Parts: sequence; structure tokens; C-alpha cells
Amino acid sequence: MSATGQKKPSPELPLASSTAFSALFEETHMLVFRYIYGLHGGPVQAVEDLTADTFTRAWNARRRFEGSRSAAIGWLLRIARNLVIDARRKEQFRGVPLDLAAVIVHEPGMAPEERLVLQEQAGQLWQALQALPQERREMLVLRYMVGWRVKEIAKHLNIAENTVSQTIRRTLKKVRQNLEQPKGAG
Amino acid sequence: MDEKKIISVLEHLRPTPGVRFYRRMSQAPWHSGRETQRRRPWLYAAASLLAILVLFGTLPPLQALARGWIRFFTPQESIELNGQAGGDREFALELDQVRQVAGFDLLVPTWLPQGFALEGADFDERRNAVIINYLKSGALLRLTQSMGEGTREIGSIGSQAEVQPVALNIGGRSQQAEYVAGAWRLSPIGTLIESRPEVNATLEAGWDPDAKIQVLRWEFGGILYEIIHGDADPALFTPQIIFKIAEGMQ
Repeated sequence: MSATGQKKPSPELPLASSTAFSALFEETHMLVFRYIYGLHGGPVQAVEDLTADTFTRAWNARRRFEGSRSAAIGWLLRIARNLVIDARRKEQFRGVPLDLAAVIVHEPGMAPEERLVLQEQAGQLWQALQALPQERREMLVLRYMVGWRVKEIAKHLNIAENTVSQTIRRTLKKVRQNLEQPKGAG
Repeated sequence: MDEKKIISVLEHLRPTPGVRFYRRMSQAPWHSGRETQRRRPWLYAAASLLAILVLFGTLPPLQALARGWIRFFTPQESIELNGQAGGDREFALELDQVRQVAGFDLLVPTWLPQGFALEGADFDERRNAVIINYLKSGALLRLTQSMGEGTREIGSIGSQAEVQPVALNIGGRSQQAEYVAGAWRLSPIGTLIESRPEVNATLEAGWDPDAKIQVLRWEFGGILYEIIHGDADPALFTPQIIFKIAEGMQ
């Protein structure tokens, strides 16, 4: 199990049959949705459409895919990333407020005031996240919203683990600095 | 916000797709074969029962003011049905999917009458209700669990219908529930839905105390639970059947 609660898919099932593809969808759609949400920024309906389009494209290309189930996840995320890039270019993305009710998980027993603080912080962080270059935003999304380990991210992005770790650390520092800047200070 | 806090907030962001997404995906090509096989028995075996089922639980909240001692039902001489006759609900969601959109914990039965199989579930956004449907030839079983707005809608029953209060043991708790047998029946029944699914006329329905439909309702923790069960086989149409389904819900 990953930190998101997604089951690790078994490695060798093919994707050609509707049964195999359906199983892939069931196992990965939440991961793909969260990845697209973090990368695209919302609103929710646009993210749902992009997620659906990702799986539709993958279905249409399934006979050309050769590889393991774990490779299939990387393949899905690459399709998703291309769709997000196209969508943000077409939409001339300006940033959408985080849909707090749909997105934040409140832990049981969390006091109402704690929830309010978390919501406010999440809203500010969301804006800061969306202002990051896509490569850096993607690493934070994969690491903390999707729940992948550094090793998995490095493999997916085909870069060294050390590079991923350093980039994530620098990006977190940059986000903190941006959040500390007074509003209007640029 | 320091880096540790930023990580913590990011880890609290767990967006999930809504009902709209799962509805769209239920029509995806990799699901199409399964959907065709699943829906056909329902259409052929229980079309006439659908006509009466749709009339339960549709009264607006204001009519609750007319209720007497009965908690979950409102007796009426007759009712009018406006708009589409219904029966078009698609139970395209898996239980795990509907759990994600419900916003409250669902109960599911651990015991079912012989022959029933899960068709699927749906989420009614207007009533904030999860509806789980089971299939069996010549029979039906539908579980509805609603919270908030949905709990204020009252099941309408005929003025001569008998409401039986029952004490059940559900989830290890003694629970007061109400049981009714019978259903509203459209006239003529059967052909309406199949021949004119787009009907927009106002239709009158009369209460049929002999209809092989039974309804059980109770409330716990702000959630209204309803079981509707029907079976053409008289041996499988006793109050004990629906009570046993309720007592097995966890």
C-alpha cells in the first residue's frame, strides 16, 4: 500500500482486454485524479474531464502499450501530464481557488478551529503551489499528494534520486519563503 | 508555515472524483460489456414493480406536518406523480465508489434472501442519499441511506395502510423502526414506463395493500435508513425477511 491507500498493482497483467484495463482503471484512477488535480489546479470538473480523457486515450492506445503494470502507471501519468499541459495552455490558466470541501481530509477528532486553520493554510499553499514551475510542482504532487517515495519519482521522471530529493527540499524552501512574503510584495 | 507544516498540509489534500466522473466512467468502453449483462434482468423481470417503487420517499418536507404518531410515513388517500415516471436510475457505482462520495458511513447487509445479487449503487445528490440495488428475477431489494436533506423526506402511504412499529437489533443496538406492506400503483401499470419513458403528464396512483412490496424505515445518528423489498413468491414475502435483512446490516 502507498501512502494514498492505493493498492500496488501486480506487475505482469496485459492491458489489451477490457477486464485487464478495467482492473487498471480501478486501481489507478484515484492516483491519476490526484496527480492531475495537483498539476492542473482545478476546478474539480475540469480535473474529472482530464482524468476521463487520460483513460480514454490510454484505452485507445492500449494495444500499442508493451510493459508491466507498474510501467502502465507511468504511461498513464505521461498521458495525463500532456493533457494538463495542453489544457493549461488553452485555458491561459490564471489559478483557481482550492475547492476546500472536496479536497481536504479532516482527521477524526480535529477541532473546528483546527479545521479552519488547516483550510486557510491549504488555500494559501494551493496558490503558492500553482505558481511553481511545472517540474517542481509535479515532484511535490507526486511526493505528498500521491504519496510516492523519492525512488519511485526518480524512476518515473528518469532522473537521479538525489536530484529529486534536492529539488523537493529547495522547492519546499521556496514555497515557505513565498508564503512568508507580505501580500502585494510580489 | 515552515517546511514541515507545508508537507503536513499537502498530505491533507486528498481530492476525490465526484459522482459525475463515476457516471461518465461507467459508460467507458472497457465497462460496456459488463453493463449490458447486468441491466437486462432488471428491465425484464421487474418493470412493473419499478412503477410503484418510485413513489416511495418523494414527499416534500412540509407534508411531514400532517403526520400523527407515525414517524416515517404520511398516510394519504391518493397521490399525484408529476414528471417522469422514474425507473431510469442507473446503479453504475461500486460500493467503494459510492462510499467515497457519500460523506457518511454506509451500512451493507450481511444477509440477503436467496437469489439476490448486488447490481450496484447510485448517489442521489438532491436527497444526499446512497441507494444500493440488488437483483433477482421477479423480485427487488433496494437500500437507501440518506443524511441531511434526505432525512426530511417522508414516505407516503395509503390512508388505509397499517404502519407496524417494530423493535429490531441493528448493529448491536435496539432500534425502533416502522414497517409497511403495500404500495402505490399506477394505472394502467406495466406499459407506461416501457412505452412512454418521456411521459410528463400528472398521473394519479392509488394504494394497493396487496402489492408484494414491504418497506422498513428507521433512523440512527442522523441517517435515515430505508429498505424496500418485493418478491412475487409468497413464501419469500413475510415481514421476517425484511427484519432479518435489517438486523444483518453492518
